[in-house]
This record gives sequence, C-alpha cells and structure tokens, in this order.
Amino acid sequence: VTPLRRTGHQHILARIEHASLSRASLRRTLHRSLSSTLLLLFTTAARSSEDDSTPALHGKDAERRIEVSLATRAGLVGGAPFVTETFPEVSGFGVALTGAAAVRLSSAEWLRLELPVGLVRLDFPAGAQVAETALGNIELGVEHRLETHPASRLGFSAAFLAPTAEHGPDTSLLDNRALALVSALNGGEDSWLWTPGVLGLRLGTRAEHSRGSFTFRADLELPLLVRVSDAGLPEDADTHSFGMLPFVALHATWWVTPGLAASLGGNVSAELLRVQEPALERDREHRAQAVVAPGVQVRPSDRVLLHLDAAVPVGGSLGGEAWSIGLRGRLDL
Amino acid sequence: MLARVLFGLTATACFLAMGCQPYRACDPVDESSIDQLPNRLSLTGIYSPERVGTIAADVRPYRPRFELWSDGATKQRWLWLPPGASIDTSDMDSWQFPIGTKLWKEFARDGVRLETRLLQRLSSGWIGVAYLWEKDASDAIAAPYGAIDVLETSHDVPASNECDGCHGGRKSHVLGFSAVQLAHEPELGSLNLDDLVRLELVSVPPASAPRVPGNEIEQAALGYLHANCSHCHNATRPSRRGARCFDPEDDVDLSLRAAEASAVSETNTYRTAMDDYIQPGRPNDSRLIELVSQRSRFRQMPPLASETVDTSAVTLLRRWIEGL
Repeated sequence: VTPLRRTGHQHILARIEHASLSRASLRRTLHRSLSSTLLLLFTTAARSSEDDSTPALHGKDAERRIEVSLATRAGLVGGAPFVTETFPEVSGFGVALTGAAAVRLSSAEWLRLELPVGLVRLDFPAGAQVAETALGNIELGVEHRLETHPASRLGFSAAFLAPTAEHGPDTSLLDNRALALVSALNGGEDSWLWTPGVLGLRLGTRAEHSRGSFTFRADLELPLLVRVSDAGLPEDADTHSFGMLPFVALHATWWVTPGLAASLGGNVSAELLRVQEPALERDREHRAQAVVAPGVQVRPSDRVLLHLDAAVPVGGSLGGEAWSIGLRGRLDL
Repeated sequence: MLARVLFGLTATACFLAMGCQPYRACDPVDESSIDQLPNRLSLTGIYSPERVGTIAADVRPYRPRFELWSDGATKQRWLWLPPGASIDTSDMDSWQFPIGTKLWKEFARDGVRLETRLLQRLSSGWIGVAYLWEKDASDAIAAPYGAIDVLETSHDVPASNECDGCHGGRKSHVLGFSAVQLAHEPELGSLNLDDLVRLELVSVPPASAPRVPGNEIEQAALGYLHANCSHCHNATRPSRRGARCFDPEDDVDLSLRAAEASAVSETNTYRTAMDDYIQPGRPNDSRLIELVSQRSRFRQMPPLASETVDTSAVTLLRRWIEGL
C-alpha cells in the first residue's frame, strides 16, 4: 500500500517518478505503435527452424549464417495466479512478442539471443483496463545442433538468463502483473522469461525425427533460477531464493500436401521449486501445467512457412482460464 | 453454439488487433494527484479527532433515493463541505461543489467494513481513492491500485483511475448527491434536499422538489436506471479526455432531470431508449434485460464494479417493460 505522505528522500523519489512520466508516455506510445503494427509483423515475421520443422527446410540449414525470428502469441487470461494478497490473480489480454537472433559460430554451434516483450491490457479491479508493456528476461545462449542421421537431429543448448524483466514501482505491481499475464498466455511454458527479479541458467535438449510425411520432435528444458531482487513485491509475497521449472514438450507434424500440414503439440511445465508462491492456496496445490496446441502449417513457397496454433491449458491453475493463438512466420534467406 | 463460436472468433480477432473492448480502456493511475491525499482514512477528516470510528460533527450522512447496486454490499455515505461554502446549484442537474468538498462511501458485507472511498475536490480537480480496512478494523489504508477479493470476500476495491469510469461521466463528478437523489425522506439524521435549503448549503434553492413521473413501478424503474446507468448513459456527459474509459458511443440517455416532465413519455429514458434497448411489452426481446441479466467478461451492464446480477432489479425492469 502506498505511503501517500512522503517526506525526505521519498520526495526525491517521487520527483524522479514524476520525471519518468515522459517515459510512461513513451511506453504507451510504443505500446500503441507495436499493437497497431502487430498484424503486419505477423506476415513478415521470420522464425528460426527450431520451432517449425519441415524436412524440406532442414536441408537449407547448412547455408544459414544468421537466423532472425519473431514469435507472437495473443490471447486472453481470465484468471492467472499472482503472488500478493491484494492481487491474488491477474486477468486481461495481450500479446507475447519474442524476438530472437542466432549467429552461426561453426558448423554445429550457434550463439542465440532472445528478447521477450509483453504488451497487455491489464484488468483493473472494477473492470477498467490499462495498457502496460513489460520487458521480460533476456536470454543469451549457445546451441549445438547435430545431424545424427539424414532424418534425425539432436540439439543441446545452454543459455544465461539476465534479470532484465521489469517489475516497476512497488506501489503498483503493474509490470509484475503484466509479466504474470503474459506467462499465462503461453500456458507457463516459458515462465522463466517472464519472472522478474531472477537470473538463471537454462539447459535444454531436443530430438527430432522425420519419417515420410511426418515429423516428430521432443524437447526437454531445465531452467534454474536464482532470486536476485524482491522484484518490488510487498512483504506478504512468499518468495524463495531458488527455482527449478522443468519443461517437456512433444510435437508431431503431418504434411498432408507439400504445402499444408496439420500439427499437434503438447507440453507439461512443472514447478519443482518456485521462486514465488501464488497467494491462493488452490493455486499452490497445482505444481504442473499441461498445454495442448493443435495447429496448421502452411508453406506458400520454399522460403516461407506460416504456423498457426492455439495453446489451450489443460488442468492446473490455468485450465479453463487462459487460451491463446500463436501465429509465426518463418522466412529462409 | 454457432453464435458462441462466432463470438469467440471475433474476440480473437480483437485480441490480435489489441482493440477489443476499447470502452474499458482508462488512463493510468495519476500518482501525483493521489499523493495529495492522506495515507490513512483516519487522517481524511471523516472521524472525530478524539476517536477513530466516531464520525466528526461536521461530516453529514446522506442516502440517495435510488441506490447504485454494489453486489449486495451495504453502504453508508457522508459529505463534508468547507465551512461557509455552499454548493452551486444554478444548474439543478449538475451541482458544482466547492474546492475542498469531501464525500465518503463505506462498503460492508455481513457487518464487516471492507473499504471506504473518498472523493475529494482539489484545486486541480476531483480525485478519488479507496481505503482498505485492516482486519482488526482499526483503520483503513489507501489502496490507489485497488484490490480484489478483499478480506476473504468477493468484494473488489476499485483503483483510483477507475473512479472516473463512473464519476467522469457527469459534469458534477458527484453521483448520488443531487436534487433528484435527495428529494426524499431518508432516515433521521441524513441530509435531504430540504435540509440543504434550510442550512443554506445550496446557492439556488429548487423551485419545487424534483419528482419522478409515473406510477410506483415506473418511478422505481426510472430511478434504478438513473442510479445505475445514467452516469455513463447521459446526454450531458463531459467531452472525453484521455482514454475512452466507459464513454458510450450511442446516444441513449437514462438520466432523470430535476425539472422532470409530468409524463413518463417525456423522460430521457422513454425518449431515447424505447424501441431500441427497450421493446415495450417484450422484456425477452429487450437488450436492456439481456445486458442487466448477465455478468461476463464481454457482456454485462453495468460493465464496471459488479460481478453479481441484481435479480430484484431485473424482476422490476421486466415488470416495467411488460406493462409498457
């Protein structure tokens, strides 16, 4: 709760906050600009091969030196767990925007940078909505991609997670709430990107196999988080020093025709160790979240791949409370 | 089922464009204004300096004739005017309050105080904030960003910027304290229009006490719409500044006027909503009934600060429409 009468250094802080109004205005402008150009981005976005697998495109991997990708996911959250008594849940709608760039270091090694941003309209208690933009944790890592067989690939990755997620002033928790909402949009599958006040290490492995017109993929991620700040959370928030959030995903793609595929994915994210506990007891009881993601892929040309899917959380604390649609475009250059 | 699917697809398109429900978008909380208000309710002047919990002698209770539905919460209201100041009532439908005016509204459930809202006129304009009662009821603490499900109830406390969602729709900025709302006989000790005239707290006494035309059901229905809908749906709404924030884009006017006509057919509601939101004799075909009978993210009226249907009001409105 805000101490409204400020004295001494609090006055100075207040002045600094007031001075940052222009920053808030800038952020709102950024939010609107990004929102209005979102559909345009959908159609021009490029996505790295790690998320969209087709046998035809794999053959071009050796030619690539740089990959640039942009993934978008838009949807609605009716109620996602949050960590304070004042706001035990967050709701609203928005877009998770994750840009990434990868540079080939050697034939099998890639250096990869990932930048997540959330653009949301947060529900306020009485039903108003306020636009909020929040930066997530930037991830920098290396990937090792192995072609073990003409139809099979293995990948290993290790990434450092910088504690860049914005948490804003502790009076509002707006940025914290925005990040929680974006994380729920994704069904919690990459919650480490949206957790403020932590740095981390993510280890991952991937196996991929193509057979006929089918492609199968399995992923295992193990993010380890260390809390480095209280992220502006009030004293009633129950936080921990360490977090471990393993994530498993399976994905199958069936190329019905050379230009059209149906896909079905599913993943489970678990919270073995939480860095922050939900305020509601019923949310604390859920330690795992499953997500089903049916989708279609369209390849209008050899260089372009479009992937539309829906993420539907099943069970857990988000089952029936959140859903989203992701649209990704990949452009091979 | 098809309608639901189509609605879902439409909503999805809206989300992708980030333009869905634009009327819900409000400006952020203005922290610089909020900072001018005290941190604790006990410091706002509502209570006697000698004892927290005892209303100060110069703070006067009042109760509007037609009350806003607040999901069944019980409410008490108080007004404080600066000494010697009076309310500018030259426009009887839009009273202007002197700088320094304070209004409080306390919300309780099952006898437990949950929050007390303060609306205060500063030199820079009106500012509102809710104070959240502590569990031991010793005092209430300012909550400029509101809170949800307070004190283990389903009651939500609005954020400061949400005050404008309702109050910003009226030139007066004050709801529930007006000629129409005070022209009745409340319980002993509560201010009414006669008291204001007698105490010389209004600049211009009304020529006659405002009356609502129609029979008992018509009066109750018009009063309900006035108290629950007209803060947004009125023809004299101030021009929009900033985000839309519950500014309707239709021209339905559900407000009652102090100098109301003698026939119901001349009221704003009958003139602007009939055969549109209200189908005379056919409540099931009336959009008004459809909207007030449900609570959901996408379809409900009022859209702000209510999660529970006011079933007695729905019954009243149905009876009224059936009789039209």
